[in-house]
Amino acid sequence: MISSDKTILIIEDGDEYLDNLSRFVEGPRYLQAKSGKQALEILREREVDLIYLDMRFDRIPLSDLLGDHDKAARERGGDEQAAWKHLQINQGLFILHELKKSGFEKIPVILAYDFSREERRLANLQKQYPRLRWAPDAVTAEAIRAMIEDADSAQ
Amino acid sequence: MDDALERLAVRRNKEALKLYREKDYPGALAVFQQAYKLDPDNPEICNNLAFLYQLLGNYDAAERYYRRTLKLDPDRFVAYLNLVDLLAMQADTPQRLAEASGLLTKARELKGNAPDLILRQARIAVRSGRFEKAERFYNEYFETEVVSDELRVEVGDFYRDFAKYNEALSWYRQVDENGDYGSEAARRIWEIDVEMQARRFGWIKASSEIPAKAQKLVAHGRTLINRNQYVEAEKLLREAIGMAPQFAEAHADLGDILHKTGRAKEAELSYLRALAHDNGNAEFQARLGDLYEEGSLGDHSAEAVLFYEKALQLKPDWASLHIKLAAAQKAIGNFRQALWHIEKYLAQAPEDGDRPRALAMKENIEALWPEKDSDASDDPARYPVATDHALLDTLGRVRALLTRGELDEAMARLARLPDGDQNTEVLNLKARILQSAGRLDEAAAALENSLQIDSAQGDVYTQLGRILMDSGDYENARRRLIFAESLGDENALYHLARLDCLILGSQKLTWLKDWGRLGDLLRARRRLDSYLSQSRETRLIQASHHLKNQINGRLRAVYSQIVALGAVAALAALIWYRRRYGGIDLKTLITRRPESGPDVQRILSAIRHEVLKHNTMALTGLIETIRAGNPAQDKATHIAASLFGRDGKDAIVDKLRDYADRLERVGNAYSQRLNLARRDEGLAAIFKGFGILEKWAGDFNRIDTLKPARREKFLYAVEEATSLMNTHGYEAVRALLDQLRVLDVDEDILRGIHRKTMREPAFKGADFSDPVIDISAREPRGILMPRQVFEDVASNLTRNAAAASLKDGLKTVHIAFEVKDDLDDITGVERIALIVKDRSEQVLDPAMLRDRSVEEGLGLTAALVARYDGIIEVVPGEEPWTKGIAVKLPRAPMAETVSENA
Repeated sequence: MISSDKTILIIEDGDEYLDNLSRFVEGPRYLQAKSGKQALEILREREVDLIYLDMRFDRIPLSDLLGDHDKAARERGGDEQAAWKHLQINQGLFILHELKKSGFEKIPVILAYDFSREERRLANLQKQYPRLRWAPDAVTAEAIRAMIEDADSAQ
Repeated sequence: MDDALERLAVRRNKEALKLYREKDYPGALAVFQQAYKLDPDNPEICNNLAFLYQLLGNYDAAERYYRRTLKLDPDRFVAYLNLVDLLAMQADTPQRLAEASGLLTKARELKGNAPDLILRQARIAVRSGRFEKAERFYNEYFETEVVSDELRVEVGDFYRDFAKYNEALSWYRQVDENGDYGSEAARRIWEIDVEMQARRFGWIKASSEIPAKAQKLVAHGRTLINRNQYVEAEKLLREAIGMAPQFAEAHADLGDILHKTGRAKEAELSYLRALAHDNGNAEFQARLGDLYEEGSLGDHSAEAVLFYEKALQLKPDWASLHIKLAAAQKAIGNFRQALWHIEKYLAQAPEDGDRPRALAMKENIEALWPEKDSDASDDPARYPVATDHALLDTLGRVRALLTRGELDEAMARLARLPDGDQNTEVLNLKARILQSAGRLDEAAAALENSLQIDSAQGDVYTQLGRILMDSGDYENARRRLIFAESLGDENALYHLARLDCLILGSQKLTWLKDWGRLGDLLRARRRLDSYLSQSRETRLIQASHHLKNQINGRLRAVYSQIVALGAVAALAALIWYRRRYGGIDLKTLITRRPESGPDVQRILSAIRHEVLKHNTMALTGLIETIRAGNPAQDKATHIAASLFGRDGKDAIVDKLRDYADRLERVGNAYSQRLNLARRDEGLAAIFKGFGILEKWAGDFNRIDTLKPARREKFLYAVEEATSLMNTHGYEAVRALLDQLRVLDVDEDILRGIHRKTMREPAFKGADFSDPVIDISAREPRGILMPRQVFEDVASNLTRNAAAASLKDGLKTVHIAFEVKDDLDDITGVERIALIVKDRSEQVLDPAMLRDRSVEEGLGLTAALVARYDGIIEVVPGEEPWTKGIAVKLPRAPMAETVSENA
């Protein structure tokens, strides 16, 4: 059982992580933010021990997405749709970037993304955000629990 | 019909009859026509009109109106007579004579024994060559009517034509010498006297009686017959007969042609006519015998015996006739007589010829007739029945009567035989008569009696089988025929074959019934083959061939259907197999069509994100809870809702199916059929996992109330499903994503692209300098883009640079390729950037790229790059380059990549 006084902020575009973690990884107190902006607001107001961050955000309004849409569009030959898609698919990383910019880089983050084949990419990201961990999509409750505890002890 | 019109029609009919009586036939015809128009349904008017047509020579119209008359009034006696007269007048085919005979029978039913009818029956019998029948009808007529001189001449002619000269003379001599027919009768008497004298002294008929031309025609006709030119020969012979109707040889030769060309009935008539003119000709007798024995007229072996015997009487040294007679006698069951003739033949015949056939026949008869006297001699007296000439004569006559359809007379003659003569031959003949009369039960009883006397009569068993078959008693028929077969009666083979392929009930859907009777049909064919190989007799052979052809046709139909159905079944099986086990997996799709990679990758990512992502955590969490013995209902219900939806909505399983459909559509777009559920390692495992969960869906909602054993099974199932979906499935999907084709960007590729661009027609004559290539990106330089796509992209950039340089008037086209590393700080994604540089003053901006400016040749490049998650942008140039276009493509993951460069 994980210590019940820990607070985990789940940042996701749905409710799946909140539902599953609160049911299957019992113990911590879970908070939820459905966008990067909302997450920053919570972090500014509440003490959070760990962030559980989803990667893909395609169920929130486009206006709530973080990231430079214009730049993304420029890089894609001006294709705005492709630019939005880019922001949605990588929203977890844009949020991570914003967390760092806002001074929250010390909070451990578990990113729900499979980096097992992209070690260099993970390494690039960890250069900027050393407390970044990741959880593959198909992860057991036990593995998450272990990661939370690991992040907790590393803190 | 208006009464007034009917009355008017009757009045016109009366007026026409008046004109007819006044012999104004054309006038009568015109008025009958008017009457017919007024009332076409009046049978009297119709008959009168037909009669006038006949009178005036329009026989076709006459026949038409007579037939209509009988249709309007089937009991109008006079119309029968008129139509009979017309048919007899134009009896150019045996069918018309047969129809006339049938009409007279019908008329007799209507009117009884009217003399007119009887006389007509006699005349039709004469025309049909039926001597005895004609004689009987004439006699019947004479019993009631006064005979005119005209009729005496007619009857005399009848006897004369059938070579009964004494009877003919008797009738001619009754004619009043001073009457109208006196001189006619006297001339005929003289002609017969001459004929009889000539025969008495052995003279050949004076050739002067036959015109020389007719003789030449017949001679020529025979030549043609020998050359098998029957059509021409028939014309010549008919012409000869037209010139000399009494020319017997012409009739006989015509009979030969008709026989050979399958017109047996007409052949019989011709032979009879030949015999009518020359009854003492053994050849003609034998030829008619051959026709009867051959069997195409039906079973006429008895008649064959009569005519062969006559021929043998006329020409006793004719050895081969004995063998023919033996065959015919055997066919009618006269084994004793048959053996006697065989012995005669063997005694007379040379060593070659038909001796083998005779010996074989003898052997065959001896096998069939075990009680024969083994002490054979050439004396017919050794055969007890054969010595009874009175009985033999009676039986011969009865057979002849039977053949001619005179059943009552035939039966009466048999009935007059003393009881002591009721042997097997008599009983067998009696059975044939009864069979012919349609009294099948009595015929069968007679044969049973015969078989009680002699149970080794194979042919009688066959006959009995045939009767039982005709009665519909197929089971007993088969038993008798099989018994006959065992006794060696070869004809039983034919009839068993008939029985085997008999079509019971409706003729419709025979092919379908034949499916179930394939064995019967094959057996029937074997029997026919056996029959045709054994039988030395011509009887039934034609019918056997016909039956065999029919069976072959039916077998072909069945085989065709079997083949067709087999083909359909094989095709269906193949289609089923291909649908079930055919198709390819995603890995093969990407290998074959690398350009499908991005679409597949996107959908697989969605499956990973939306289908698999949360299930592992939930399912493993549930298993932990249950194993720990904690209440799990809330968790299980939550999972069930997530997997199978709430109120049928938002089910993950539905999402999975939707993504699978999308993948299949991607495959179809590249003309590849996917079989994800069976062939694809990843998707198949996921589908299987979901299948297990669906099977246990009910238990999710009552997990806490499940009995321990059931709960254990549930846990096992959920663990298996989790393993399938989240281990096997997930790993396979991830591995597949890794296996997207990778291209290593190197100098060779870039030089190749530059070279290819220079050779394009648009740049013909242009001067290109060597490309400047600067590669600083670290190795390996793998990108997730198929080689062909990369070449298209890089070629477009090169082409645009060259076109812009030439447009600016540069004498030499200078192009540089730079390959360097690029890193996205935010996403951490590493890319390889290819920058194509030139020295033109052309200005490009991102908007122009997006607008797919054709002039700049960047058309689809931007779209292609975006499709592979790449970036395209304009970068400023450094001396001596004025600008560059950069394409940044994500680096391939390090592990498990497949290089396209090899």
